[in-house]
Amino acid sequence: MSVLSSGATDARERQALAARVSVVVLEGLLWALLTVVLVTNVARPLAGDAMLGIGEGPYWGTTPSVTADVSDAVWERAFETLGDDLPAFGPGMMVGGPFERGEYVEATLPNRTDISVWSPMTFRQMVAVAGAPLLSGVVVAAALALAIRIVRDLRRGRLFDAANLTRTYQIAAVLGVGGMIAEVATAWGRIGVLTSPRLAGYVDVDWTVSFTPLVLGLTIAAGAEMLRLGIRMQRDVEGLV
Amino acid sequence: MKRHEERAAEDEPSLIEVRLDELLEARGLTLTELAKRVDITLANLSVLKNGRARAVRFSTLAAICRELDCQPGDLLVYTGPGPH
Repeated sequence: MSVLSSGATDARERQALAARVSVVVLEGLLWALLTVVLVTNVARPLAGDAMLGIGEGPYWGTTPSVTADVSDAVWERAFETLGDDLPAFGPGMMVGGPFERGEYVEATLPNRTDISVWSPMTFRQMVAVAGAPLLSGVVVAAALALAIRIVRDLRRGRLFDAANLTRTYQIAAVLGVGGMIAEVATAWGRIGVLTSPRLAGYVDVDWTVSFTPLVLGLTIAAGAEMLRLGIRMQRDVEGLV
Repeated sequence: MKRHEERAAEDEPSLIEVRLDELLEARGLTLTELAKRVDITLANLSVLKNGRARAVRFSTLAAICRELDCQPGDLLVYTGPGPH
């Protein structure tokens, strides 16, 4: 064998080794991400007060809550009560001066507040504080589990086959459909909490539904079509020497 | 072509016989040595030798003919119906 072809073989072997290492690292990262999602977005809502109520401590047993903006009516009342001190704690930038470099600092009252929800709660409230985050976590965990199966096949050099095409479509469906259901559930639950009669007039009832899961699902479905093309090309070159 | 027809076509025995064994024996070469000389993997060369290859690149064919000092017609023989 010539020196040139020997060098080319060594380069190919190095590339193959680098590809194997990067796939192993990718699988490891996916497993780590799956573990984080299962702990933070599945186990934590399940163990929290809104669901099983078995969580203890500041991480597992936090009070279920949603965040909301304080309403204009509350700010107006606060201005009437506290006057020129608003919107800051202590002397704001309107008080004192002239200032030296580094003294232009001001502690302002937050516009965002936490709405705590305690048991017994309605199903809609439970969806807001735990159900929707749990559903989101399950959706992401399912997609990650499918992605890990695909990467494991990639380690064995078997990416372009019908099973992985099916898994890719499943990821697209789980993220697209499941993600949109989670988005709608989150908004539905949130509205249920914020329209509670005891909060009337204190917080703004705002909500949003993101179409990111749908776009992500459609993008992955498009990727599945590229995988289908790859399967056909692989079949064409199978047995080619 | 429907999928089951494609699978059936793939499983049909090849009508091209690869006479690599005879040429290797005549030249006193092993399959391993030939694989190194033509710079393809032993696995792929074995696929060719055992008649499981579905296609051969011209570059591979040229390299084998160069190392075995033969013509493509010495290596590949059509065994299907028709006048030979």
